[in-house]
Amino acid sequence: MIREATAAVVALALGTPSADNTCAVSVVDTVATVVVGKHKQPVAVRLAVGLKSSCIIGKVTYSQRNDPTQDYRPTLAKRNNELRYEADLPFADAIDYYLTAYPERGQSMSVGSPDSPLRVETANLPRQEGKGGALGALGTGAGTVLALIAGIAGAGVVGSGPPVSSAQGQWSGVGPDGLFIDSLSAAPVACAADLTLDLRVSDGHLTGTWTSTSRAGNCLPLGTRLQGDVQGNVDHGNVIFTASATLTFRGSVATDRMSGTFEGGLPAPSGPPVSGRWSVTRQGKTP
Amino acid sequence: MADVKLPSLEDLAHWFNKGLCFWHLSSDDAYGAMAGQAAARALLVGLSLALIAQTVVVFLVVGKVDMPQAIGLPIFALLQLVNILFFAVVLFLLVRLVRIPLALREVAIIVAYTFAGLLPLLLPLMAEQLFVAVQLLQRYRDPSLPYLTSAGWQMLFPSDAQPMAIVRAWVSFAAQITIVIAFLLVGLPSNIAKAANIGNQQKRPIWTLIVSAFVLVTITLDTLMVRFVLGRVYWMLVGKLV
Repeated sequence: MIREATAAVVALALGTPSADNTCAVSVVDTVATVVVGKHKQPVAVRLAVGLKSSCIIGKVTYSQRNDPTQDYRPTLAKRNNELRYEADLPFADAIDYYLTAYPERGQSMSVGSPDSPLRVETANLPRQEGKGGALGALGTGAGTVLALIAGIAGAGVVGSGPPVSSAQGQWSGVGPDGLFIDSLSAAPVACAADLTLDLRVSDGHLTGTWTSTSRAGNCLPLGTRLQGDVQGNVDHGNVIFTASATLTFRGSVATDRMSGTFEGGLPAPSGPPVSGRWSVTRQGKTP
Repeated sequence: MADVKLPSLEDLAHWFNKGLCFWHLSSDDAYGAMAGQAAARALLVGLSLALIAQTVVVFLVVGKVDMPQAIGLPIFALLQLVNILFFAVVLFLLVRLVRIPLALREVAIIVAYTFAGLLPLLLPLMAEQLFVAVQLLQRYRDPSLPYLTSAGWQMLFPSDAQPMAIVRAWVSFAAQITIVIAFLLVGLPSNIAKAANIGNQQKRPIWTLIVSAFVLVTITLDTLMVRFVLGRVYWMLVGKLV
């Protein structure tokens, strides 16, 4: 009895990989900033990616290149205080990268790949100083004390969970957010579009409108505007909806941010099959 | 089998006198045939009050108390007991290093009284932090992440928040530190020194300081245990509820 209970606790602590020993990892959100030096010149691009994972992640690496003729170079990511995996990559106007998550148990998983990398354009990214200074030291100290108090509290208590964030409201995906097409007609591509959502929620049923304006890549002429109605559902912070009845969006909603993946066909007249990622931030107050 | 009774008013008064007002704890409270049972009942009262206070805060913020919480409370109590037992064992091993004449039972009793007073004050202050932590768990799902710590950090250093929310977070943080210092770094070492009857009146403060250092080491080891073992189990279980 004690042996079985101990084994169950150990299995819980170590995480239980799926039957095929794989771990499902997906990008929840991405924060990209340009790190500037003393004379305000850009020195690096700081990428911080939040990962949703079905298992315990041991480490994460970014593999990056600034030029298609270069080989990818791996950089070990550090988990930051906001639980995103963060790394400083050498500065360039556009960076191609993919990330690899290594679970403590099970096989590694990649988001993007050498043949179909993720891309970040740096022109419009917010800028930040390289070092945190006194505030950074204060943050580190506070983080340590918070960790000690969390330990004393025994990891916290179970509440009913936070009030599940509502998907209702105006959402906008511009800059590092938006609609990112990774595959078009089964071929890897790197295209981006601004995305806005105007959503209403009633009894878990989601309705509203969506608008997308092409801003990068060769999938659609730049500035092409697609729009239409949205129909779907929200359940415990997970959203699923169809846009113009042809694209299916899946994702999760936090207080001020929604993100996930999409697939389906572009609305007529183009109509080819597409898939990729999307992220938006809330505009205005949380309802 | 021992007769299990719900805590009585007498138990509540005992918890107040010995757990909350930790400076009233005497060396007699750590010894004797009934000392263990009295400490256990004080801890039961402390845990119950912590859970009631937590439930009230949840109700005030969310407006309801639902089934996951009802299921989650026993999980919390069980893990908290494991945590307190681990704390007591590590502290016992450390005080034995300097030959302080206390058995594990006495150390466990004093630790139980300390946590009985500490938890009902500390946990309600962490309620808002917990909401954010569970929200982070829902977003990332990996049970090994330090959700509670990150939640606290994001409340203290938010990218966009009302000034009042930041002030509230810092006041709560300061109160948490004060409570931890009072109960764990002042009360617990003082009560250990009293129970062990080590040193004379003049030398007792030095011994108290030594035990304070051991408590600090124990807190660090306990944090590591929670971070890498208990916390993972905890968030794995919470992940199945939310």
